Amino acid sequence: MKRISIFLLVLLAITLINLAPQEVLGQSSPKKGGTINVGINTDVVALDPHTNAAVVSAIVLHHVFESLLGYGENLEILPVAAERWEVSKDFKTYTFYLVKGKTFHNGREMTAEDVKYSLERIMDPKTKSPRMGSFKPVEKIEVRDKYTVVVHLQTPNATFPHILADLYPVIAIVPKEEIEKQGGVFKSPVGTGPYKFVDWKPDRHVILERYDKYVGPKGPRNGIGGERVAYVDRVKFIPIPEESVSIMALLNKEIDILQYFPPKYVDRHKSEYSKKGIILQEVTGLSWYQIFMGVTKPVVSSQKFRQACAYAIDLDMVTQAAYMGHAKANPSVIPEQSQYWTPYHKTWYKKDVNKAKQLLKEAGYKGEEVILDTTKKYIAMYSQAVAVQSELAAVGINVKMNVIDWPVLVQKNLASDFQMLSYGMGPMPNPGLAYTYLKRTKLDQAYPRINEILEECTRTSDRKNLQRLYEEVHKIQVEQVPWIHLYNYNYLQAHHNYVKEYQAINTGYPRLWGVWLDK
Amino acid sequence: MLTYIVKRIFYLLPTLFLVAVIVFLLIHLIPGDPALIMLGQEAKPEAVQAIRKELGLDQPLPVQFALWMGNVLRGNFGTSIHSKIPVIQSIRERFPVTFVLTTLAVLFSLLIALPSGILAAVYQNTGKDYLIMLATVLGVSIPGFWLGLMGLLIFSVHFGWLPSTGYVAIWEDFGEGMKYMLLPSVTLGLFMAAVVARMTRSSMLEVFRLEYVTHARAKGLSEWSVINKHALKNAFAPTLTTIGIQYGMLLGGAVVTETVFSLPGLGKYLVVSISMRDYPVVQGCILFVALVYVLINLIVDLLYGYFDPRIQYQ
Repeated sequence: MKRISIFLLVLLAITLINLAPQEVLGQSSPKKGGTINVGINTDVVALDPHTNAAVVSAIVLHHVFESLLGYGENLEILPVAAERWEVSKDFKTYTFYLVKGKTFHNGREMTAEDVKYSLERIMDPKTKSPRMGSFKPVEKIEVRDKYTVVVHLQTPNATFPHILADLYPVIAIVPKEEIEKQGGVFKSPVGTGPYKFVDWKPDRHVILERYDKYVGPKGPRNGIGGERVAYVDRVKFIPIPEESVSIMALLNKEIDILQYFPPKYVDRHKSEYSKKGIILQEVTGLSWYQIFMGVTKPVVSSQKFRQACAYAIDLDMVTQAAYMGHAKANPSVIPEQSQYWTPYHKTWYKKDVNKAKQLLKEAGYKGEEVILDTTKKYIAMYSQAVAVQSELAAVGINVKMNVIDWPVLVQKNLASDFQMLSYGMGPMPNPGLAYTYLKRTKLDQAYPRINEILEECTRTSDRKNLQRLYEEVHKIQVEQVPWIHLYNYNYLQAHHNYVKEYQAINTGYPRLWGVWLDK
Repeated sequence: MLTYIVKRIFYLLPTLFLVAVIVFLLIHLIPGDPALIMLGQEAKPEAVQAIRKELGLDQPLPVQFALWMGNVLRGNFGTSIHSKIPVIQSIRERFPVTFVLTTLAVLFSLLIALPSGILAAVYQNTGKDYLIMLATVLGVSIPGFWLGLMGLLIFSVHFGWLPSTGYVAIWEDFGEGMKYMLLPSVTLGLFMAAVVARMTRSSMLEVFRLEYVTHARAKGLSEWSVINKHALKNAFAPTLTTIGIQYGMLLGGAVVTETVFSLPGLGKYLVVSISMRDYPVVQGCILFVALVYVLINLIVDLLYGYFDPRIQYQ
């Protein structure tokens, strides 16, 4: 009898616990309200999503605008402003069925006409869009009905969804009347996102406000896709260029989230900041850093010389030097979390000083100076260059570092005017696009098979097929060493513990939907 | 006096023209393509060429210069290549921030420098003098960048008295605005305070050696009267020149302070624009800063006459 009583009491207790409001148990449920202050490391460049490719602008504008498609956490393509889409068997016709009832921030419903206008605006040379070239394959855009838009391509292209899901800039759907009212360029952006634009004071802040009439995609929050519930009333992006000051602002609670937490403060976080309620999140990112090799340039044109360089460089050491261990060494352009990655992409040279020296001898290298271009604008590019220089010096390669400013480095990269170039690229979930950068090394001139493979990649969406093709490109990369891909760096983001459900994602973008304040 | 002022303003024009030519040439001749920066790393060469044509960058340099100068003379400084914001609008929004920062820095520095310089001169070769001179050496040696960060660490993080980032204009809310400006202006002003203190000390010592000062002391005037009524005004003239030069330098050199304290000033904007090769912004801002610098020097020259009646304006 006593045992039965105890059992019944326990059962009653369990039932009561499960029925109790979450607040009673100390677990909170999402609540609306408040302002989240987000520290970003530089100011937005412009507010028009179609006219500037700056990553920082995209970080903010992803909350105001939506594209038809977006990337999920595993780099799968998900519907956003489109509810679903279909592609013809020949990959020449894409049909997008739009989310119904989605409105712009001026109250008007978004329709297929808006999609047609937006994409054509990007394609219009007068807009000067950085993505104009990506839409070259488009033959015409057809409005089938109010919620259906069809894109006809001139040639088959299975990678077209990647273009629409681009991370920066946002391939945004915009209202024509607002663009015309504002003189042809957005100064006060109007989109369909969960937050609407309020104010931009250059070098001070960008303020967004929750858009209560937002209608978004369904499904769990997933990268840029999935549902987008805006809990907070306002989001304020505050540019803080100086790293130490951004940490101070976080400690002072002048900002609630810090988009870029400097790696050199990670130990301090463990010993000090975590006790002040600051949470640090680290996620392997998609940005990729590498040393480009100018395969048509003197000295570096020798395949044996390039292979010697590959043998000389310890990827783990360089990764440690560049990012203090907060990066993942990766010899492939495809990150491990990508659906296209296979274990073959781990294939690379294991550091072997003797083999490096032997290859240099066979290449006839006599100590000629080799120029390694880099910049201090992005300190990782400089740090990795220093590490690479020391690794190469250890096998007798005479590398001279040429530190130049960012615009000149970009120009040299575009013009393929380098022997070696220390560089980094933002997230590129589409490996086909990433591999096109091999052309900067001019390897495709000696190896036209690369262009054939990249062309084949645009004609299939079959994952196994694409994996096979990318493995073939990686094999060429291993043999020819047109670049030495070093690492994908981790995104470190910090926030106070009263910021709930904030999750760092692999694009490095602070994502402010689904996030709420418990203070 | 009026003739002198008109003449100086007239002489301003060739100075500004020279500045315009130099800055135009410098920014156009350094490598780096604004069209490429605008389009990003994935830029296709044909798209870059199209933008260059659109922006008039494919024209010969003299043609580009003539077009730009023509617009400047009509009050149009052009539009930012990247943000599409008119340069004049950016200057109007940002220059007041830099001006307030610099002016507060100058006022702070004078508050420290003048009494320190006078004290050091009066107590020459004593402990007080050595202490003040040591402080001035530290003032010119300590990098403003480091000083700013230390100030933030102590007064913002440790004591929580002042904010670490952000900006409120003092004409919107004086109290709040001063909270944001206090540390930056002290950081910026300390270097100038050190320079002006040393200058004041030297000038005062020179004047103290003059016979009329000895005569004033012999008459039995108080030391305060000797310093204030007789010595300081004559000693201040060379110091005034130093203040004018420093003011101009601070206007252009506030970029480090603006970056550390995240102030939306002109200096930081100019440096970012240079790195982005935003030609209209760089040209417009430097021309504007040159104009302000020249005007400040004109005011300093006019004030010189007040302190030294021997100066005649013709």
